[in-house]
Amino acid sequence: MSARGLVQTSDDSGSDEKPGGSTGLPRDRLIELVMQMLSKSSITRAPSIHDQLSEAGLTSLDMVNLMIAVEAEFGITIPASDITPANFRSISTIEALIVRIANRGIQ
Amino acid sequence: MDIRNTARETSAKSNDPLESLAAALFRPMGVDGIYARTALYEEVIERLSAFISRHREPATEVLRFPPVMSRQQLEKSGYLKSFPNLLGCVCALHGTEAEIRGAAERHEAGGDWTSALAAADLVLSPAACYPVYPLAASRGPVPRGGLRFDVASDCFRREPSRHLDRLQSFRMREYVYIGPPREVTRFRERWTGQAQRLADELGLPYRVAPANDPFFGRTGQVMAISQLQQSLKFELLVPVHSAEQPTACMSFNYHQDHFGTTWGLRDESGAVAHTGCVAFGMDRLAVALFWKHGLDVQKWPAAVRNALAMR
Repeated sequence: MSARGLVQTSDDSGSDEKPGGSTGLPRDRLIELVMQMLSKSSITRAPSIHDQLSEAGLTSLDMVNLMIAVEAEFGITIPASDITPANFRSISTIEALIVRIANRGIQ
Repeated sequence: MDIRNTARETSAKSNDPLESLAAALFRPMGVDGIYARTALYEEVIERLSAFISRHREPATEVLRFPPVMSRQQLEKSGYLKSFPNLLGCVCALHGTEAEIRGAAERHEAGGDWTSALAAADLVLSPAACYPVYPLAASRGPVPRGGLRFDVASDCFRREPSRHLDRLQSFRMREYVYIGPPREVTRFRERWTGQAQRLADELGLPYRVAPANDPFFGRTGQVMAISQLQQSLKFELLVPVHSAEQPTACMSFNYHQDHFGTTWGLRDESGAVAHTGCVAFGMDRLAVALFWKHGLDVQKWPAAVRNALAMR
């Protein structure tokens, strides 16, 4: 599994590979994706990384589109067993999930 | 009699607590989840229906839908995005007399006539309320006080099961409200409380819990998470199998602006209406009543018999 532009641990913010067209850190890129979803509902306020995404204004379809965008952006496939309320609660939990999946892929 | 349809299934040992009810309530029709219903069962269904009607709110329009609905309307409602695996579509033989007869005769010759089928403009209704939103939208702006409907239909979901609380063909009754978001929330809260009082009157053990619909696939799992996070669905659960895996007999649903946006349901000011519904699984409730109180309705608790107007 390739994992584009991802760090091996959530504490290591470095990245040795840049995905096409994206230059930000993983968290920044994730926030960008969330803001893209929110902007469709004319929401411009960025949520904190710990805010529940539904409370920030993401609809069910936004959440689906976010998952698809995350998979494309980071070159990962999120297994069905990882699609849980805990993993998709906030930007922070999705970031941690991305890192875990990326680490599995390079082990 | 065993409701299961094959000898192999009949010989299998069952731990299903509903199994003992089957002989008195249903007759097999050759397909799991599709059963003929006995007079004993149907009398309870009818009394249950009347019981729910007695609690209908004022100014509620009653509509009874056939078991099929417009395919185009269901497609527009977004059903294929969420539950494509559950949908049943009406298919028929189209074409000239020769083509139709040719297809039918393939069956007589031991061949497959179904390959000549083509989709018609109908689907089997997967829930009772889907037809009401385009119908309401066709009447113009939603009045200030909102719209209330009492709807019901036979419903179909393609999920074969031998469990009596998961039929493929079942009856659903719903109270629907269309109006401002705050009023939809109030409607759902009111009915969440009222439904528990109804369950109390029926002598059913239950708990109410947040829930999600069985959305299809991985993306469906994400939709389910979002539905839970937004508290859009609650279910009244009855432990007919076990406390760990209870059966949803009623549900309380807030669709936000989904149907309002889809069908152009707007008030006089142009604001998109929100919608919500409370759904009664008529067959599940009836099965739960027999599970709890037994097959001899004469011996059901007096309070339950009184609630159901049993003489």
